Amino acid sequence: MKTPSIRRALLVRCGCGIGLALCALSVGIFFLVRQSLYREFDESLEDAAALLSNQIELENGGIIHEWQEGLGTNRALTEDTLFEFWDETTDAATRSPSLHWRDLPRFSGLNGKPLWRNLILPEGEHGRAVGLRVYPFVLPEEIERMKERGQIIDPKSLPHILVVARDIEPVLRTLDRLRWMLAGGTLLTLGLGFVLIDRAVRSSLEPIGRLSREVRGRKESQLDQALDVPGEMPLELIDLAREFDRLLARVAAIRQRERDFIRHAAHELRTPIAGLQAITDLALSQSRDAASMAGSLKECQQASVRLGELVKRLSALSRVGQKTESAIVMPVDVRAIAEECLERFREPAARRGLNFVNELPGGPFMALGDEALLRIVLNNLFDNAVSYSSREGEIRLGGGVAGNRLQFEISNPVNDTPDDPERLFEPLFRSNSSRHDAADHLGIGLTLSRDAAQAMGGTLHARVQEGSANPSLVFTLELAAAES
Amino acid sequence: MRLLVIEDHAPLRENLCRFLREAGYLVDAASAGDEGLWAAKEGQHDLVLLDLMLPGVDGMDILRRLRAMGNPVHILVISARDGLEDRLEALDAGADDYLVKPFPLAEALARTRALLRRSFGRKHPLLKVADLQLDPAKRLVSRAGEPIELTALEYRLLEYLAYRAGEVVSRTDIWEHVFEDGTGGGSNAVDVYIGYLRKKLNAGDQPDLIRTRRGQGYVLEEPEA
Repeated sequence: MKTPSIRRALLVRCGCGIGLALCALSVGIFFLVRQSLYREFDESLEDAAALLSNQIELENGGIIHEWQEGLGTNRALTEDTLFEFWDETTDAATRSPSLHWRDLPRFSGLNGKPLWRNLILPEGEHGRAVGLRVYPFVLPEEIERMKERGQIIDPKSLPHILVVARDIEPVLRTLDRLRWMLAGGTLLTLGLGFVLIDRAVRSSLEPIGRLSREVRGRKESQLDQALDVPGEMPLELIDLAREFDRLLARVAAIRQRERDFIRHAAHELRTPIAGLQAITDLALSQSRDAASMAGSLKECQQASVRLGELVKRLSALSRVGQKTESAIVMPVDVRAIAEECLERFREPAARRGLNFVNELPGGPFMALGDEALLRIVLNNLFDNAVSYSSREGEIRLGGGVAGNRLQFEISNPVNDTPDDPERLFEPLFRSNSSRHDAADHLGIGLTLSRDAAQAMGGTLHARVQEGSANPSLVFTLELAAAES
Repeated sequence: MRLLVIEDHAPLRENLCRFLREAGYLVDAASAGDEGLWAAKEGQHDLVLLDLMLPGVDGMDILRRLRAMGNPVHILVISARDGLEDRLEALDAGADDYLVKPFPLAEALARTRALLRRSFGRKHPLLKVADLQLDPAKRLVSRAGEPIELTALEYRLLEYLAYRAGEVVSRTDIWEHVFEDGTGGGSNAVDVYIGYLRKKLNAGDQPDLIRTRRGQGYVLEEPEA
């Protein structure tokens, strides 16, 4: 399939448009001139017919063709014009000398009105003729004489058909020349038009070429940089370039995120890999007994399991920010799910001297959410609270419904408060106090939780609440409330 | 030689410590920043292997605080941070070397030896005093070309004296840099092990290279002509 080309399309469309306009103009001119020439010709024929209609006279009871009597004075008329009279009462025909014995076609308009026709002249040339009915004229003296003779003849009783014809070849030749001139002019103008349009199109499309060269000439290191849009760039392309820049910015953000992820992932993997390598290096550094080697292998196994867990978490992290699979949002009992999730954290909480204080409203605490995603969020929040709470404190669960929004809150006392609690949601962010548990907490739980909350159409925020003793870190999950 | 490893990742810390111990060094370990800082300040270590990302006090903080208080101990940073900025920051903050994780233990050991040489102002990999020669990389000792078999503690003692050859080394220094805590039953053990060393080094009626400075300590040096 041929690749569409803007230049070709513009050239063809503009060329066809101009060509059609030129053709229409040429045809219009031709027909105007033709009409004008024919009108002029017809008027001359009509003039001749008018002159000739005055050439038949009723005299002495008979018809006299005056032009035959005064050939000398009407020579010009009779030489230039072919004409023929037909006496409708006798069908006798009288021809102009130049017709010799040949006839013109006999015709007239309705009721004898003038009618013009194209015809082939006796000599074979193209001609045009006018046919009409005429009546002989009667001089006053002849009327007196008819009265004296007691025989008055009404000229109307002696109608004649007069057909006057002339050679139209000069007009046709003129029209023929005009036709060729117009056709030539049209083709010439069209050709010139194509050249000019092509230049205009090329010139108009040149900025696209410049933009393409700019894009094509980009080095690997420049892929994220905004386009260098020249000042004289057309408005339409500036918009396109800006949109392209916006796209580049998005691509750059994604690339940066990927780079960050790879950097963080490499960073997170280095220490456990160093641990694994240390185990094997030590085991192989000298000959050891079977028990020692078995111990090293066991250590390797444990390290590889931990590495596997780490890779799983990194894999989960790589999906953060991607489109979350469609959440199945339906009424869920947040209280019931929270209490169920809470059970597995009671023991680790107790080991750290932490108590759970459940202040959730009694009865069903219904929200619109996805049960699986809600469990991810709640498990991460509980895990976070148990791991990072200051020892021997209380982890409080609370919440309520305001309007059509349900709020679930979990707060735990902390020794160090983050400067910006929202940073806790950044991928791989770990506060100083979290480093004691770096092997188990990769810093993606809260990121995933916020992602899950958003997938359910909710929000997840963190804030610091100053208390009488220790400050608390409060996480608030907000979802659409559902009917109980 | 006493080393301090400050690393929070247990498998790495434990295996690195064991490897260094098997290489003949005394190794103390700390798993958190505050613990490591205290050990580095209070202990008499010849070298500190320091991780940067630590719970409690950050590795960079430890580095800066030790240098700020004028502690001259040589520090080998072991970190997962491989960026140029991280390396420059650590080296400019007073680290003597930087090793990016993961690393072969053999490399960590070689860098440890190199830093120990540097800390005692030595460039040659072999330690020589008169006809006595020590190869710290192979842990071999010979005198007049004849190999001498030493126990790990005897070797450690000789190596420490050899690094500080020509310098009077107090019993306390020897005790802190050579003996495991509690080994040998007290400072008398230093004299006992010096005696063992003398016996092995002077087996062929060769001149004694270890001289006793009463009330001061011992010095390993060439015998007076």
